[in-house]
Amino acid sequence: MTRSRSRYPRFTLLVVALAVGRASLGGQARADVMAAPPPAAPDLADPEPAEEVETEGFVLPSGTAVVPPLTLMGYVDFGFADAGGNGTSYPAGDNRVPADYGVDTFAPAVNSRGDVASIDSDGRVTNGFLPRSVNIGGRPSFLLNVVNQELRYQAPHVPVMAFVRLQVLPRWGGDGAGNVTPVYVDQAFGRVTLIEGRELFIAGGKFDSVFGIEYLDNSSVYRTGITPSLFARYTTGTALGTKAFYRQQIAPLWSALSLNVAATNGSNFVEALQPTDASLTGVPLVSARFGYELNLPSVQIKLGASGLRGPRNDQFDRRALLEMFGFDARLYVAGLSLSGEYVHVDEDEGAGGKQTGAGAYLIASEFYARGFWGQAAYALTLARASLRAITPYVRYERREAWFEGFRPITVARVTAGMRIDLWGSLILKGEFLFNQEVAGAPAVENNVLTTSVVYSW
Amino acid sequence: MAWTSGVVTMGRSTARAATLLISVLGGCTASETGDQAKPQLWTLFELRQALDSGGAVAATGRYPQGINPQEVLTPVGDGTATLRIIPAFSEGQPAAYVMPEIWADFAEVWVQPWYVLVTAWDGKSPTQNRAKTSDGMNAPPVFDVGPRSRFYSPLWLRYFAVLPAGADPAAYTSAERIFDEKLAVYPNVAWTYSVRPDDVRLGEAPPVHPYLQKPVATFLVEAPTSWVDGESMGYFDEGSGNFTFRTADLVVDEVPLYELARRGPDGAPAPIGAPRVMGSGPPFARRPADAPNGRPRFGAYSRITFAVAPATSGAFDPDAFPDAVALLTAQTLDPQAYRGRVATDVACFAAVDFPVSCTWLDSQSRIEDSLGVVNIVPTDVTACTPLVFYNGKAISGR
Amino acid sequence: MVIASLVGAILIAAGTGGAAGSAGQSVPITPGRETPLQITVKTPQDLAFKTEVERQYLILNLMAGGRMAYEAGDFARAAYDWDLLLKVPSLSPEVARVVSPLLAEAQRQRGGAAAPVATGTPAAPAASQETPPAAAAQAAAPPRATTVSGSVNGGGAIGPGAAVLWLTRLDGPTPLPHRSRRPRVLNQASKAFVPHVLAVAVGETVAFRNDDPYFHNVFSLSPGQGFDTGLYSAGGVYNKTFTRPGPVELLCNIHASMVGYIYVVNSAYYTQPRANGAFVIRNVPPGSYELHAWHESAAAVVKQPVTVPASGASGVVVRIPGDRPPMVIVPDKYGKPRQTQLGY
Repeated sequence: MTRSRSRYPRFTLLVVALAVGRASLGGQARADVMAAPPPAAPDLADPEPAEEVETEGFVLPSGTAVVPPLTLMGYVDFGFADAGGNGTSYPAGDNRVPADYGVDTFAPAVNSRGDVASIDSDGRVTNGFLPRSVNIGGRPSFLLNVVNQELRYQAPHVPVMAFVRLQVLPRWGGDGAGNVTPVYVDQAFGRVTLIEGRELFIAGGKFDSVFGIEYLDNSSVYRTGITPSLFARYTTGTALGTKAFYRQQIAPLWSALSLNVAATNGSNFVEALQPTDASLTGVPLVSARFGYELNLPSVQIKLGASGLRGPRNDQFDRRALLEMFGFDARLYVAGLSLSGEYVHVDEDEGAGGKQTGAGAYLIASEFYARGFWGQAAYALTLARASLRAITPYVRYERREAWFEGFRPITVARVTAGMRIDLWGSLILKGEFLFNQEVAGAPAVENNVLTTSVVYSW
Repeated sequence: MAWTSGVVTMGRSTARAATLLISVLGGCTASETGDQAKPQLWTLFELRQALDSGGAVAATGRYPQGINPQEVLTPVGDGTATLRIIPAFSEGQPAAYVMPEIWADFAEVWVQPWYVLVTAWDGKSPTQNRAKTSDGMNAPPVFDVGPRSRFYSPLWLRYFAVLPAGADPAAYTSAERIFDEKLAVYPNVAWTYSVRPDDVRLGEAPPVHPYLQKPVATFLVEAPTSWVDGESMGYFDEGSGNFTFRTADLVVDEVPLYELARRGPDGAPAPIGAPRVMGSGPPFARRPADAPNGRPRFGAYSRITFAVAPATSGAFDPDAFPDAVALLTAQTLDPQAYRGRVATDVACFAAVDFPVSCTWLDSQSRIEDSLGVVNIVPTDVTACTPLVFYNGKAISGR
Repeated sequence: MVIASLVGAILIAAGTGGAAGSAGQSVPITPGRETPLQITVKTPQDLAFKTEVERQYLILNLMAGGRMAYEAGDFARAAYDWDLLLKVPSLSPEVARVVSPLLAEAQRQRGGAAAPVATGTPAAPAASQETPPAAAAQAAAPPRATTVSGSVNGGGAIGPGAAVLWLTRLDGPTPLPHRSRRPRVLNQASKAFVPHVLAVAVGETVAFRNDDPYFHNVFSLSPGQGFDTGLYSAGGVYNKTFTRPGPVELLCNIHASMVGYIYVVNSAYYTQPRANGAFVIRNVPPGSYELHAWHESAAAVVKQPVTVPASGASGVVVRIPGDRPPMVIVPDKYGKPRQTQLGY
């Protein structure tokens, strides 16, 4: 017998045989495949409805917002840090004055604010080139880095948004100072969308920098790692003034161009380096960033150029200028993100003394800084309820800086760490900073091992 | 050595070109002056330049006449200048000082570290192990904060840094290397050194008091070289232990340097032009001068302070009062020791009991007692004024 | 009796020839496809054993054979095999649940109606003397469909109407849902997704239509459901077919405030409630079911058993726990968090 060329007789036969066989066994429940087929789904041949029903589904009732008008968000950043040496960048036995001009005082950072383990110069005079400190020196310590609370109000049916970010910073004030807990109004501004449907906003108040890209990570929740770069001190400060943003989408090219411009009392320097809430010269600084984006389905490239010019706002002379420019680039593809920035800073010699967020100092020195940072991170996304993503990262940065009359110093840093995202509201981070004094500054033991646990709501 | 700031200029021009667009947007910088005066420092480099260009330095709101560079330096025909010995009085006796640095609008200055290289440490005689260069000379001292910085200070705390065995002293030209190699460093005493350009010298002849024509301290020497953050500079040695400082924060203690003056038509002090009077302690401290064995532990850092004398006051000029000179000579007193000394009433110059009858303003205590706090007006000008002649004679030792 | 039935089946199979679908194509024979198996039968127990072995063997071959055909592009063969598989008596519900969506896809790929099951299928074995006529009649007649109704409670500020409910059988395979031939429409209007929640059948296409006068860029990062429309301007439409059951969270890469949901169901018995939470699931045969309810404010799908008698089930209450916090940090289409106060 030739094998049948018919396609399906064999299995059909077997099914039949099964059915018959079961029947012939007798007494067995007879779930005949043919006699009791599964409940049939609606026949595909059934006629379609005459018209598309476009309003099917659940439509939000009028006045209901997916995101409530008033949103409270925040986080607690808790960590453990261990800084090498005495927690500063000052070499033992160094009695040069001012103590903060011959080293990078910002190097031994321990948290996302860029606070350092210590700025204790052992009594030597400093001249205002100092970050905020958690005053732990070289002693490993748990830290409550920041309690951050944000409030956002998006008025219904009105293109106005208000935003406030408060930061509470529990600190030990140092020997004899007791506990101090400053509360910073980090940001407070209103934003108006000028033309419905256009990405054109103006904002007034105290807000993020428009310079570069690192301010976008200026928060424990958003930053991949823990500590900011060696240039964040110049680019991530908040300033008081007004700004405008416009972005033009270019759909055929999957691209967009954007311009972010601000006029502010002060520069983008962090609060510890300048007073942020008043103009000391009466002349605002102007800053801007021009950006290009390529937003392909799987690849994103962003490029930008930034600039800033105006009287330095840590002294009173309008003629003493601060000028900055920078370039930035970002690439995202398949979980891999590469980002980097070059920053160039020039400050004229100022009149009188220097006013910073920490106090008044003798001389507003002429100053310059140049350098770059670059970071690579890979986000391994896991579709699990608890473990959402694991992101290892590494960053390299190099800064050359000079204060008038002092030798230029060059420092470099390699930062490596891991970030773990859990349940969408808990982030664990661990990081090691390897600080290196390349030239001009004495080599010191100022590496840092730091961790951060961020719970957000 | 020429004074330049080339590195900074190049960097700033690049920045200016790159921010052209921003400069258009932000071109609202005004020409108004700042509200605060800018702290300024004149080292011998600036003073040398000011000597050529003319004009006073350190003219401030409280000291509008400033200081004439010719008071500090004396031009020499070969294009160089010499450090001038400035006559003064202190504790009622002729004195003299030099003024290599002047600050305006500085509330305070500090000691800076000055490193002397040795091959071994001997606490009893630290200098006996001075590191030598290949030509057998003492290795130059090393320090980092040089005259380009307004934080430069000629008031030093000397340290001895012990070199590793076999190390070449010529390789140690900055404090950075001393720290990088974690050399053992031992503090020593306070010392006054002033960096100088190559064309500022002490002169061929040994320096003398301009009135008394007596030699001043032999420690005032002209040293050929030091290492200032990798750069070689000459300096003057102006003696040790001639100032004190707060060990907690390294801030130097100041004494008043009285500028005798009268009230001008506008009520402002107008200098008489007489030699200044070096104080010995904080104003109205009423404490005896700290000068063991004739070596004052003060004076290297002073604040010019107006001592407003009565309208009848004046400075003694021996050439104008021969009778008074005769009286002095009869008492075996050197008339030149009184030249420029100010009395509250010039009528006493003609008195038969001259000089006893005069109320002299030649010491801190006399000035304060005679004039009162109302007439003591500190200015915002300070200076490095190490005494090289004190108590009518050269300061001995180093 | 067995032999007579087999002979009859063979004759029928020979008479009908090839089944519907493309002729001439055959799936390569692999070891083990040959049936019946060479198992010695000497006793009724042997027969029972052999029957069961062959049943399991059949299931394996229909499952694997259908898959191999599918991968070879023979969708008609794959649909036939799997359709036949679902008719195997006492088929495990797990197998049915795995195969049902594949069958639907094979049928879609093949196009047109399913292959007539009657091909090669014998008439009801009326010759069997062991089958009581009444039982046979009962077994032959499909049960009458009825309804399941009730209400959804909870859902937070969004409300219970945003839920999606569906039934899965516990006593048998769950049929796949009817798929509309025309795309389902989900608008972007006034910077919002309209509707906010749309339930679609597995295999259906959704047309994302931009009714705003500016660009949108809709995307989803939901596991297994990721897509990116790219930028499209006013009036533009982007079609996306959803073949995997589960939730799809919709976001806009330009407008961070836009959030919407699609839920892809693989059960014929599904519905979305009214805004007040009242729901009705129609055409539900009596049986034992599990009712599933998804809501954006719930951390997990709510499940509860439902028994549907012949008269239908009513008054079913589903409570939605509000244990999923609202999304506050909105990611962009690359997964990076956006600070919404920036506006970019």
